[in-house]
Amino acid sequence: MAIITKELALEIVKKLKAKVEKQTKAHDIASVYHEGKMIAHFGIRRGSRRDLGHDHIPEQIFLRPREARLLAQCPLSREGWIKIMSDKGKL
Amino acid sequence: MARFESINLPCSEVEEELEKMWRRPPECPGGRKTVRREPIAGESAEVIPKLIGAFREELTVTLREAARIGILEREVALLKQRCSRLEDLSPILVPIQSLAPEPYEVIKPFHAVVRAQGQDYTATFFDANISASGDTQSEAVLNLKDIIVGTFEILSMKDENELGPGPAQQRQVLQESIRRKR
Repeated sequence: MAIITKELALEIVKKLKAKVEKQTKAHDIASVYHEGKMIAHFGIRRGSRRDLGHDHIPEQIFLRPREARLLAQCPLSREGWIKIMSDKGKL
Repeated sequence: MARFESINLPCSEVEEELEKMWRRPPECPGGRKTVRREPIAGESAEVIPKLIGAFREELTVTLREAARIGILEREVALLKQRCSRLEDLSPILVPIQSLAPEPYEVIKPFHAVVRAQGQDYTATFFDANISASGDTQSEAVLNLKDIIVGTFEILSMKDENELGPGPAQQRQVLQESIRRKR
């Protein structure tokens, strides 16, 4: 089973206050903004399966898979993620 | 003269003894079922335990071999399974030369790296840090093409000051790699 399922991907969208900016044939593309600038984006696959794999998301938001899971499951906050992004020079 | 090695006897003698041991008793002329056997005596009494011992030794060796072959067969099956899994897990490079049917063309061909992740696959265009997942390798590549086009369209509409370092770099890489068909 995927580390990041569709269910967790949707939690990440909520957690990062990402905005679905575009719908393509196979994805909804969600972008994350900080202080008016787009700092990351990732695709949410179409499909009703809750376990649909989204293991591409961690790389897109500059996290390890385990950290991305923590982001979806609560322990890591948006502020915590912004701090990580800042430390990695991505802001 | 050929000798039966485990009991150190000439083969002819061994065959003779075996012949004696396994000879069927004569049919009872009166139709009675009880047949009197000759008691084993003399040389036979010494040879038979040796033969049984030799038979046991040979049987042990045969069974041991069979068990060994069984274990080896299982090991080989397991290794085959692991090799096939490793082949699936090892990343593959897929050259991207077209974005059809999207109205975009590739101006500088690039590679997608497709890796197994659990039961799914992830395709990545590393230079642009764009990835997509799929249930199969080809679905992951198709999804990657879809997201590349979508990302390109989003990033092309933004002003420079609306993009953080990551998306700004992505836009630059994408502008060097693809363009809308004219």
